[in-house]
Amino acid sequence: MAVETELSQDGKKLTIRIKGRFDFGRHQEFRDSYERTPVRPDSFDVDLKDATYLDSSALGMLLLLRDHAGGDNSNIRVINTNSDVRKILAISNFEKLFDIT
Amino acid sequence: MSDGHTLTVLIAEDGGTDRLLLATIVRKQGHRVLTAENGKLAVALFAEQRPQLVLLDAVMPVMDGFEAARQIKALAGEELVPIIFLTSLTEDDALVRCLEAGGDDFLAKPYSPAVLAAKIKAMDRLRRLQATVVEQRDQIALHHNHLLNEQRVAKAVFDQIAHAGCLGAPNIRYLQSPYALFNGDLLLAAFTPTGDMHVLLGDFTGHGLPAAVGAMPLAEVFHGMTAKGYGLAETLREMNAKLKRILPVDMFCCALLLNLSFERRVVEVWNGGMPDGYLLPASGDQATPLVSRHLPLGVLPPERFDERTDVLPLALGDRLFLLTDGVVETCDESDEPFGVERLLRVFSENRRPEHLFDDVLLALEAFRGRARDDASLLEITVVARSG
Repeated sequence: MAVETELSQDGKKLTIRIKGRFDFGRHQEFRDSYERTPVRPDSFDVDLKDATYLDSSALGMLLLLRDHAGGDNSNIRVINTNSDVRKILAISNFEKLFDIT
Repeated sequence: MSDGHTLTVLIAEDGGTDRLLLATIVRKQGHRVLTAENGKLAVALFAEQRPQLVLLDAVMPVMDGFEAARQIKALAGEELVPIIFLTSLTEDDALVRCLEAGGDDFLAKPYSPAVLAAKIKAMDRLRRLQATVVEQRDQIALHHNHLLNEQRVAKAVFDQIAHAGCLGAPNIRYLQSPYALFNGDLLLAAFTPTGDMHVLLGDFTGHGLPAAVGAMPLAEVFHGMTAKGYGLAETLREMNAKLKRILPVDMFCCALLLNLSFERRVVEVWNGGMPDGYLLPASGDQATPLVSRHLPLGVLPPERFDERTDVLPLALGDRLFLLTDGVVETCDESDEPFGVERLLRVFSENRRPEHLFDDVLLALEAFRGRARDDASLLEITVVARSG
């Protein structure tokens, strides 16, 4: 699985891990990862530790997640970003929408 | 035959007894049979009747099975006509020769009706698989041609809306693939009523029709508002609001906009999500990057949109250089990207500013052979008066 999910014990946080290329090919899996969660978590961590590449459709997917999680009221962290991935997120100024570390 | 197709099978065998035996077996299995007593007759019969499967004796007078197989395969073209060699040859290299001549299988004497039936069935499966592949290939080619044609029509409609604006101005040079629109790249330029020049280089998420569809309203707003004399800020607000309204959540447009005032010698810059553009001073001083400070167009709701621009002074002969990420992401054979460093090196090694654009193109060509379809480049020179 290129997209793995883990719900915290208290059901409040959903961690979504992307492995390999984070591009259009992951679209359905990524959507399923949060739409099929039985409870509605308060916050989301998108873990990009093992993501090797990120393209503009990945940015679109992050926007979809943000919309799903409540838009401006959402609480999403994008974590473990490597320098290449961070550069892409920085050019698009996505740190204005997501907590990126 | 209950579970298979009725085939026309050509049997070429010089021995009368064997020929009769085989014909009887194959006919009993429900197939139509044609017979020939040498390779030459077999080839002639094949050309005339186009049987679907051939049983071919390797050793025959007039023309042997090897030559007949070659000629039958050549006549069959793309269609797979399975050839099963009939042989009493047992040496490995004779069997190898059968396959090398175009045979698909062989059957050794004495003939077993069960084995022959199984082989015919297996070969028929292969034959039909090949026919399906060819048919699907032709369908794909047909669809591909339809798609290209649709793109041509869509591009013609788009060109009516986006028209060339002032991209033909003598102080502008650009490179854009004719298919750029369908890769999401968008290049627009137009004069305001007071002679300022508005320029937009954009890059929609995704590609194909969705990207092209978003480009149309954006171009309409750009040209409409520029012609009416609206400034960059108002135009940006309108473009963002429109894209936010019409695009799905996961679609947006990275864009770099310029308002060049040749009169006042300043340029206003707004960059949302595009790679750095550059202001290259005529003095030869180091390039000033035009950095992305904003989210792309179509992401933020109107009340949170930030249309603030950077204002930079211009001097005569300064150049503005804009590019899409297809330029720096152009990869060579080993998947190494061209990258920003190489681009900056071309800038710093350039001695004759009027050749800069060509220098960049040459560097890209040397790197990869040619620019990608989604690599758009634009250079504007600051002149005394434009338009």
